[in-house]
Amino acid sequence: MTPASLFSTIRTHISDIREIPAPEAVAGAPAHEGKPYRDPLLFVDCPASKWLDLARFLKEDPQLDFDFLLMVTAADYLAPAPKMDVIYLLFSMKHRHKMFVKLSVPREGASVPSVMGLWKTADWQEREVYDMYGIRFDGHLNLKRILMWDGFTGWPMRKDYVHIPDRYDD
Amino acid sequence: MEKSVLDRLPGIALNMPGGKVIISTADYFINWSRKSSIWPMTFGLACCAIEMMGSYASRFDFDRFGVIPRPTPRQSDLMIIAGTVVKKMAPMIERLYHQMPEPRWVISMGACANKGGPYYDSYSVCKGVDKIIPVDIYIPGCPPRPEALQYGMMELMKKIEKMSIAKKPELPPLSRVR
Repeated sequence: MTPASLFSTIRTHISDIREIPAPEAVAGAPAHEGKPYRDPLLFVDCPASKWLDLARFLKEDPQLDFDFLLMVTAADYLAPAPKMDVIYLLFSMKHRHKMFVKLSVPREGASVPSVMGLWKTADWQEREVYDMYGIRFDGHLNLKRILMWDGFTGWPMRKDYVHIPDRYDD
Repeated sequence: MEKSVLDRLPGIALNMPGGKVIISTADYFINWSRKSSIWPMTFGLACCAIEMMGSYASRFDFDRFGVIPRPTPRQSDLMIIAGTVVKKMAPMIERLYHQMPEPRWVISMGACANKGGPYYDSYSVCKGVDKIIPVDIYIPGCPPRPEALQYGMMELMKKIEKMSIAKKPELPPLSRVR
């Protein structure tokens, strides 16, 4: 399915989503080797409260059939407005189409429903996002640090992270 | 703990006429056997470990120096810190080092193990393995080629040649170990 038809199919069932348009090329910037600045994929913005409905629909609808969660990550923005994005990249093995879903959440005290029950991949991926950004995933069965050791304080991939030197630092 | 023959020999030999000849002959033999069978621990942390494996394999063939990797710290003399030491791994490295029998040596291989390397500004990387254990030989490079590791191994052999049972083994400065 093309991105446009994907979006219209999803839009008929979940009305709260919004398509994120490709960013404009900066005027005067060198040509990006003739390629567009972003892959021609569907980028969708979804409110966190609707994410579980959307995810279930994306997985179970036979036309969409997103059966493979490629990755879960997050991005931290301080400007212009402080917010964080949780980013999911989905893929359909049967139809060979991909799409991104972005959930905008506040920087402090954010929580997002876990999709561990739909895609098992989400288990460790969501733990990594929690480890690096401190975003909590409601309904995750084992939400604890995965890369950093127990007892580590802070969320190292946040923009405002300040490192406290310990005995292993200079 | 009962003293071993090597601990008691200097005290006996140095008090008898011509004792230094015995010491130096014993030194020569002991150092020869030690430097000709440096058994490193099978222990790799990151991409330097790939170069280390290449060094053990047929092209560079460390077996001909008597360098044969051992699967346990209790049988090994040498620890090659091949790769990035992250803070999560540092306590385990410390414990493995203390599980090795004396005399033991440490080679810090590559920029990461020496000083953190490209991860110097990272929150998770130990800024040099000499923060936790004393290091004998530092090998620069990112990663060092097998020739560099070979050179480091031969420098370690030279260092072992200078050891004597009549004096305490020369440890690298411990001041940096906290």
